[in-house]
Amino acid sequence: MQITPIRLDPEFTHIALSGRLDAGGMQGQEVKFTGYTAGRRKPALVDLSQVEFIGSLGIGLLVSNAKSLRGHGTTLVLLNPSESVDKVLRTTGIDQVIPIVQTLEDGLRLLARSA
Amino acid sequence: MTPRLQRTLTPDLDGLVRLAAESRAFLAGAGVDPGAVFKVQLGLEEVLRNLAEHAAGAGQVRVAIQVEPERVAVTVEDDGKPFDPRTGPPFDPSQPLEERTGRGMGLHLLRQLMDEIHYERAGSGNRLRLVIKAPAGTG
Repeated sequence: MQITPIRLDPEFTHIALSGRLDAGGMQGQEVKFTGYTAGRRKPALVDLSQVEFIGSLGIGLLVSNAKSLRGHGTTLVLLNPSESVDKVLRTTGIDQVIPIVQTLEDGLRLLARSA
Repeated sequence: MTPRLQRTLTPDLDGLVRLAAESRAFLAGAGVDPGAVFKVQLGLEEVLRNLAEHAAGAGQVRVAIQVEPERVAVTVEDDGKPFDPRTGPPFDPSQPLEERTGRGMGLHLLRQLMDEIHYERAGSGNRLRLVIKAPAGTG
């Protein structure tokens, strides 16, 4: 898993993930991801379009950071997962607790509401 | 003869990483549909992580991946305590965010996304067989 910061400003966080969110791919990246999301306590948009694989370990990372952000009164939004990644997220009901949007505009609109 | 990959490994991080890479290359080389490759990877990841976390000392795990017409069969054998992933408390996907702990998600994904799950206690070990359908003409 690689993490690319796109926008880190006082209003919100926008990062992109790529690669694999599995046991091998996430080695050492959890702390970095948390630093960019829950650690900043800002509304966070996480682009998943280049994520090749996600399992329960990767979902757990998204959930723990979304929970932490919600505890600080803000939100995490997931952007544009591939069909296979989207299916895994929806199978575990993640779409019911973390918004999943298909376009950057929709994501930014949701972030603005929670800012 | 159908394409087959067999490996014996320790279910630790190194073993998982190596098997993920080898199985990906094997399935792509066999022309398996990318959606089915994803599901095979998911099955392997969740089963082997579960073994790593809950079957400490189970020793080596034997994994076989076989590409058959219109499906891929994954067999995982270990010498640990009896464990049937088809049983156990169900995961509730409607849980609110605040109540989510991450527990049970891996087995839920297995139960929901594998097309077939077969389990048997074989001697002093477990034998698990996952079947993933692959669209016709790609396998």
